[in-house]
Amino acid sequence: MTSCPEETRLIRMVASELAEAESLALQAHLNDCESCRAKARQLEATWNLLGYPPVALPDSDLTGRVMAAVSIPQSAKWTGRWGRLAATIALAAGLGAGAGWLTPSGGRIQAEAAVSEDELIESLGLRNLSGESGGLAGLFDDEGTVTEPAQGEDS
Amino acid sequence: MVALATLVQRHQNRVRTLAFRLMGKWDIADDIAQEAFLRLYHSASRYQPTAALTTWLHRIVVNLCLDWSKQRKPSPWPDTDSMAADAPSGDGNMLRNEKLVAIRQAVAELPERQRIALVLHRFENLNHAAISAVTGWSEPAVESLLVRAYARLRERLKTWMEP
Repeated sequence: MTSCPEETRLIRMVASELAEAESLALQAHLNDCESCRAKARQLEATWNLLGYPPVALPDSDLTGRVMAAVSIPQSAKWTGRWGRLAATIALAAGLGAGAGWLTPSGGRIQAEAAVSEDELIESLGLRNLSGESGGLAGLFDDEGTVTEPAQGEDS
Repeated sequence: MVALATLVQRHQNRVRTLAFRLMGKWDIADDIAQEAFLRLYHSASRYQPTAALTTWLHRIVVNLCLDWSKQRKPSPWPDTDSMAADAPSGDGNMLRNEKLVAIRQAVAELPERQRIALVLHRFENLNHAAISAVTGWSEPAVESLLVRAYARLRERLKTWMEP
């Protein structure tokens, strides 16, 4: 019997992160090791339980709020609930209607099904994305970064 | 502007849900979601394309949640009223509601970094490398956080697990 795996490998297995060969090797160990089999069962039970049930989203006009906020000069202090109320009023007063997400004829923009993510990103002034996971260098230089937890630190 | 509206419509559910799972209240989650898209918009000119857009959005939301927690004490967690309000109603669902509240409470009570790693892993289906890319934490740190998070949840929720 191969040596017992670290718990992180069992977590990766339950989350279907292991490559096929590694998964098969681990399963072979579980077939022979009651202790690891029990740990894997508990992990799987925890995993399944956490998926109950999916979150039900309440209605929200997030798009309207975001568009209203970008219509306001950045120097204005539109923060918090009163800021959002003011932004909404400004939107209702016609700023939103002229903000550019209606066609010149006044009709609603058609569904974006034909617009790819890359086209959206290009039109926002972003360069094309590689799609590869990596760092986000430069994005938060002046906003602080998520710091590495110290050894054994939880929060 | 059209592009931004489309981008928001396309990603808002995911962003709102992530913020809710991390913060526990819909009004806070929606504030964070709004701010996330505004940061995306205003940061566009500084963006270096080394990651996918969803990774970027995840990173912004996580950062905002951490900032919120630092600036606004006490924590909004736990909020069992929000949890219960989100649960299905009706007498027949009482046990299901208790289970839902217990699960959400257990996640809420995780230490902050464990909760972030857990939510990204279990609910956003990010693997260890992707969580590392979002948070900037090393993969060993992510592994350690997840091992501890799942261990805590296993202990906390064992009465709800099927034999």
